[in-house]
Amino acid sequence: MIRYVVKRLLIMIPTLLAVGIIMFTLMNFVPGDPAQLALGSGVHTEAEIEAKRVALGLDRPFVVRLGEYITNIFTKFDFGKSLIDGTDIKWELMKRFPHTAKIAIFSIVLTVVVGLPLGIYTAVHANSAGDRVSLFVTLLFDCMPSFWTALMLVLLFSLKLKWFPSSGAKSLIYFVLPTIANSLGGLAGFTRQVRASMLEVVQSDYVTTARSKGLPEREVIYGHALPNALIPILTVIGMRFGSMLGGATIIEVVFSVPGIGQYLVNSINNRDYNACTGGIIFIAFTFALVMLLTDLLYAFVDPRIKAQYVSSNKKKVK
Amino acid sequence: MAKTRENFFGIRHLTVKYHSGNSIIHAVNDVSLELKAGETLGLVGETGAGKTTIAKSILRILPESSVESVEGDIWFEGRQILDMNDKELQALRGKSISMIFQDPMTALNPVKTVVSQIAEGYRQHQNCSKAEANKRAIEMLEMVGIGADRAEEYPHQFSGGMKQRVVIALALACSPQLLLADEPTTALDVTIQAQVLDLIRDLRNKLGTAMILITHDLGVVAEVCDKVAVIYAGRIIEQGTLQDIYDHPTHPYTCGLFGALPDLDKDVERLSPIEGLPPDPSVIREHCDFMERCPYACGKCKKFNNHMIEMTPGHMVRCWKANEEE
Repeated sequence: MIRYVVKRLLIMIPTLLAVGIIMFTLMNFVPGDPAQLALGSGVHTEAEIEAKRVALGLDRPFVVRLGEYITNIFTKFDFGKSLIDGTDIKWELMKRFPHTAKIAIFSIVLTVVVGLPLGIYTAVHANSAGDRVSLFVTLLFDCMPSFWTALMLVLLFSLKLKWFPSSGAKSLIYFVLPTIANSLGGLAGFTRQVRASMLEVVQSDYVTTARSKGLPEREVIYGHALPNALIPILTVIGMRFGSMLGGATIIEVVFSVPGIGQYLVNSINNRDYNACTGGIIFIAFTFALVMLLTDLLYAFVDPRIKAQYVSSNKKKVK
Repeated sequence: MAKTRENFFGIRHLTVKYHSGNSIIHAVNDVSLELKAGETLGLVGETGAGKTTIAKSILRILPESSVESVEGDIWFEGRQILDMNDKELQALRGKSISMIFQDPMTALNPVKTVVSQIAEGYRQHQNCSKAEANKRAIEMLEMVGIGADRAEEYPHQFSGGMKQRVVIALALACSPQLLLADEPTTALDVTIQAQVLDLIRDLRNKLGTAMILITHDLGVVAEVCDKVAVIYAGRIIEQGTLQDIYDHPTHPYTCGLFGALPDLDKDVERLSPIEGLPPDPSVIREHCDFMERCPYACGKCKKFNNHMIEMTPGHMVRCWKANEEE
């Protein structure tokens, strides 16, 4: 098992390397002159710009800069400095990550707490009135674009009822609306996924066996059916959580939460190439990490997958 | 128990309908059976005849979403199973009546250890500690020939024959009074079949369990059963004691089944299979169900209304010719 984890962590290195190279190269081809941007607005002479270019090291060949950038990231965990204000991108990301992480964790918890029981209920009572109502309501939320939902929530709960603040990230109460806005859209998909995989499992023979033993229905559903339906459910949770950790961009902008997503949007608006590249590599890293954790959870849920991990390790030992 | 032996278990006029698309499937039509404590009944018929549906209706574990209706009476020790509420059913399932499922590959939960799957049923009914239930489960596994060292393993680590043993151990864990064995040997290869059959027979003799053995294998029935009911298109077309059926098969379908068996004493070139296919289960026929395939069919069969005719006490046949022969 440990071997498997180490192997997976090692595989992450080439993945991140590829992301880094692609991002750096793409950003290099984006029109606009970083040196000019770094100088700020106003008119600058050719000489000034050239001097800035040398100061930023942009006069050197592309390959040299790429090599240096990648080496710095992998050896010193150094993403370079922002072109606009010269702040250290690593520290900026670190400072912003907790806000994004809070929204991501709260959202995923809310999604699971609501979506899992709802999905199970709708699977067990498939085609009932409750099933149809749930389908309709979750689909309705799914159809609303999240920026619109977010604005409507602000309108109702911040401006009208004055229950929650509309922007900022000073305390936990500031995260209530962003969390709700961030979860509502994905809830439909998640509930449908739970329903679909439960429906398949509920009709399987071993669930009938469990029922024939005289177990109460709750035990049959939660003890026998659910663990078998968990693999696809875990996959969806992992994907959603991973992408949310990369910043719920729209939500962060609407609610002015200083998270990773907002940072990325700002860096793109300001043509801050360094910040943008750094942010995206960071997102790739967190996503890969979450997917690894998801894969490890599979082994916990399903002994057959665990056996695969273990046996593939044994083969490697030989 | 102060109950007469006769009302141990019985089914009367059981009719089960499924819905499939826009049509109604008549899976079981007016089936009546009776069983005394400790007796073994063989339920014989080809695939799709409704054997498994009968067994599942007894435990009320039919797939709810596709069942249209279940009518009739099923009684066990004087109580109506079809009228029971969830609590009563849970107390009945696994403890008084339990079932060995057809396909051992899918009947066990892949994410639970075999010992826990056996123990949980026992614990549910005996209200005992987890350790006690585990001990019982390991005893059961040893009884069916699986060592205690393998108890903590998962179903995917077992072969098909061993899984079937686990399924049997699971069904017998609470020493039920009635065992429904749904083709317990069909999914296994021939050498293992004999072993599993011996096992079931030994356990039945040891525990005094009554059994309904569902199979399409007449050889198995001859070895294990006291009584036989032959099912065709959801109806019992002939029933009686083992001797009645094997020595005096009367219904052309029953005779056909025996004709399709290889006989070592006779030198025949080919076996004689029953021609044709079972009739469409979505249609209720006004005439004999077997008419289209019956080698003796004649005009009178068109008017036969599928009623049972008693040949000798207990030996019932659903064919008008049975009457004529007497």
